Amino acid sequence: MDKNVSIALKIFGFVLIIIGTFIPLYEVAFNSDPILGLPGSEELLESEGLIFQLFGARLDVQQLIFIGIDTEGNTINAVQSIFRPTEMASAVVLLSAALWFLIVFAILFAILGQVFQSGGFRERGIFSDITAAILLLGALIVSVIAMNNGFNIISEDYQMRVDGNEAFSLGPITFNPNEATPAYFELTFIGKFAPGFYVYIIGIMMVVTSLFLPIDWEKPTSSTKLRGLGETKVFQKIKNILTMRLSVYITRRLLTLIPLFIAICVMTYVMVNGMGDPVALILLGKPRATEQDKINITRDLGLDQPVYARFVLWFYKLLHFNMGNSYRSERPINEMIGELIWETLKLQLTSFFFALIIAIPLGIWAAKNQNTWIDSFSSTIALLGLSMPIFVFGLILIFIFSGLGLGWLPAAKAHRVPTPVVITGEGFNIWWVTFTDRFLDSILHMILPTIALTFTFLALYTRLVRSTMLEVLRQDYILSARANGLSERTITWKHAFRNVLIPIVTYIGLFLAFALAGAPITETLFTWPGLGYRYVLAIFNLDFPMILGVTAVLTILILIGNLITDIVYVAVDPRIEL
Amino acid sequence: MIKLQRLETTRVTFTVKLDKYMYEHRLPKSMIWAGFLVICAYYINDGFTAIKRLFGAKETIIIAKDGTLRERSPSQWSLVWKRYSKNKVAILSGVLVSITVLLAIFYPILMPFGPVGTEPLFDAWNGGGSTTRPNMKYPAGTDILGRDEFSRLLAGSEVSLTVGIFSSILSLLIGVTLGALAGYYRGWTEEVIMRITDMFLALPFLVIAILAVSFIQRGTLEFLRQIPQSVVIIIVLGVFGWAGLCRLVAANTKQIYNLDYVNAARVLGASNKRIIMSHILPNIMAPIIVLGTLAIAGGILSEAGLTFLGLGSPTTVSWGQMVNEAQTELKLNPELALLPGFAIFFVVLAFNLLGDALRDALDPRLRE
Repeated sequence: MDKNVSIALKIFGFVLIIIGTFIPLYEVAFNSDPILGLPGSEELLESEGLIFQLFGARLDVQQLIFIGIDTEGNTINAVQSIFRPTEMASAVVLLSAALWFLIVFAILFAILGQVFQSGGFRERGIFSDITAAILLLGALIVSVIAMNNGFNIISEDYQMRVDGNEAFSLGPITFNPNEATPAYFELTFIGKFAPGFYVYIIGIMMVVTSLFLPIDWEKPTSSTKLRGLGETKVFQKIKNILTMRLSVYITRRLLTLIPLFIAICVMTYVMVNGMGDPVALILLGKPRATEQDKINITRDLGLDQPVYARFVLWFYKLLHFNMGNSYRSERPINEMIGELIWETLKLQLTSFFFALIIAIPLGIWAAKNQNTWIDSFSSTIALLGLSMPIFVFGLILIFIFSGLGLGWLPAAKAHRVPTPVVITGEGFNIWWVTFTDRFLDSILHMILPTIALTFTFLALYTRLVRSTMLEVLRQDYILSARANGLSERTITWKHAFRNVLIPIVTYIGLFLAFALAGAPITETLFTWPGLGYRYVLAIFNLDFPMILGVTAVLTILILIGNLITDIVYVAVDPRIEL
Repeated sequence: MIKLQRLETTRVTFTVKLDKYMYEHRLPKSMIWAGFLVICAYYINDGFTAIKRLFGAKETIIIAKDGTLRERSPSQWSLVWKRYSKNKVAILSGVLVSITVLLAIFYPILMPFGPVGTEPLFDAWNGGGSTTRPNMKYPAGTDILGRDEFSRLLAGSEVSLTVGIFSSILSLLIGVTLGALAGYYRGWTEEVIMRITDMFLALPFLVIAILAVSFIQRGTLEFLRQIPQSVVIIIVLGVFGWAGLCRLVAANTKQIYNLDYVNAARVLGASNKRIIMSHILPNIMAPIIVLGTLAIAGGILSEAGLTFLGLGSPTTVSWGQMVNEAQTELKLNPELALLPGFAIFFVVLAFNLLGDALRDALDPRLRE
């Protein structure tokens, strides 16, 4: 069979799957009739609406509104109930998250299979294709299970509440605002397939079919039009990129990153949950806390659920960029981390910049004058920086330059507290004066921590530059450059320096990991309002969402940093084999 | 008689001190650790004969096949020792490290006071009390709670060195084993081990270490809370710090895997275990030793950092914790914070120097 059939099927199939993930696959509607014979039931109206919609990639929970009429004849929303994700059965959430992953993995595997087959690795391509097909079929099964599961759980739950079997109401669900029982409505649930489901199934079927068609990948297509299309520049370029070993490498790395991230998240989640009882710590500040308070807070924080259910909920929320609210300040973690990471990066990147500026010339100078006083000077600085604990160096700086000693620089915080309001002049002038004031203030606060951090980074980079430079200078091409009579300056900067840059450039990604993970100590010493300091505070306050959020964000940053490092390393240095 | 008496008195005071610290459960710990290490080394090296063989460059005479007399070429380790002993900095660092190690083992003999308790008689009128300046009785002053700073400085060396050395050994054990397996057996073994290594490399080290220490020390699991503080830090640093080493060992093992002498051993019918143990591992020993030494320095720094953040237990004497406690007194008594800080600095410096010297001795390409 011709290969354009398979490619077309694959492309259309994936387009359909992606469209299908944005259209509801399945929805549960309700229809309510007022139960006649109860006092006041004549004033209630029939109502109908949606309870939940399952998408390919997410779960939408709708508001339930019953409409009634009060004694004066006005229509009011007598009964309201809102499903929040915390109230959803964890099984549904788990399945929905699984669906998401299966689809992502399937797409990656299918691309990998295509790349392999175009590159001539037939067996590997078939392996990837089969994996993609299994994943897609798994996604189909999971979505069907999720539908039935969600429907059953929700209808049972509701029936219990309607019957008044539940002793207390969990959420804001009350069918009568004045009394929890008796029920005024008779609810019927209608589950039905939404159009998305058919789109989704057709997409999956198309992709799976395309994967198993008997196709000779090495034979060019018989269609002259398509062959002409394939020979255009754009398609040639796409093909070149796809069949590059680098892109195969990147896809493989991406495939390994996702389970890696899940494993790290599971590990941290288990550790965080064994850290203690945050409810007791929250109640510590309240006078006359009762047992009921404890139960209420435990339920509000969702701590009455089993660990695995909590993990799934947390992870599902994380995928949708929602990390919950802090136990302490009750603000969203997203907002908090967004503010804090800027302060941390400001400090780290500035000191990294200064460290590079000093380290590169110093290292090269030391390598050029090996075994002289210059070399020993730079080695000494590097050794001191490596051996000096950053908190001791910082303490010395604070002791000398802050209010304890000379009183030149502030020793704590990133800004003046409280922030001064400067009002002199109008328009641009106000803005300019305030801006320069705050800017100078910020810079003054940054000086001491930046010096302390720069000293540490300097050590690492000076050593790296020196050793690489020594290695490069011993190469044959430097000798031949010298033999050709090039000046020492040209040799150093044009021939040697460019090769020294390879490890430095690649270390930038790894640096990010190192710097962000090392932030807690520096920031605690200078009480810098950054990620690290707040992380340590969160550890002592048992602020679970904050701890989890910071670890997850740092892990993601490090994984991306590592990936970029590897890619840049391969891209910069053609000698590396994949 | 008088001499004898003197001897007697010194002996008595020594044993009294020893008894005192045995009673306080402070002496045996470091000695048990040291003894454990010595016994391990003894069994590994078959009664130190290997050590003697390593450093004694004996000129043995070999009779070659054609009947001529030849001198046996010096072994690799004796060459290393020659290079090492020529380097003045190396000798200095070796002396510094051995002094600190001896100090960490025998410090109770030098301590004038107990490191954890206070002496009730030495109040402010008698030169004691809280935050006194250094005087004859208290060579480095006393801290906020009136404990002798000098004794605490000495006692802190024990925790620092045990944590540094044993966390390094733990990570060496895990890293070298997994790395050698991954490099030798290839295929699925390598894939699995390398993915686990990737996971540990992707962890933000200090952040996870803080989390793990507080999980073990003040978590909800009762049996984990029983573990003493230094052991907790050893475990955490060892378990989370082996990944880089594992990668290095795997890469080196892969390089050596196809060399002629390994192939020769394989043809002769050597088992996999024998090839790994006696052909591959001794030949990648140099980077492992260097990294292990540097890992000790890193371990000491990490321990100091963790205890500085306030994760130490109050009954364990640790330099980082001393700095943390003395931060509030920085203006009036800077020596309380700076002395333990410089103690960390010098010990780490000694180990870093030792690592560099070993690198120079083992890999002479870098300094010619």
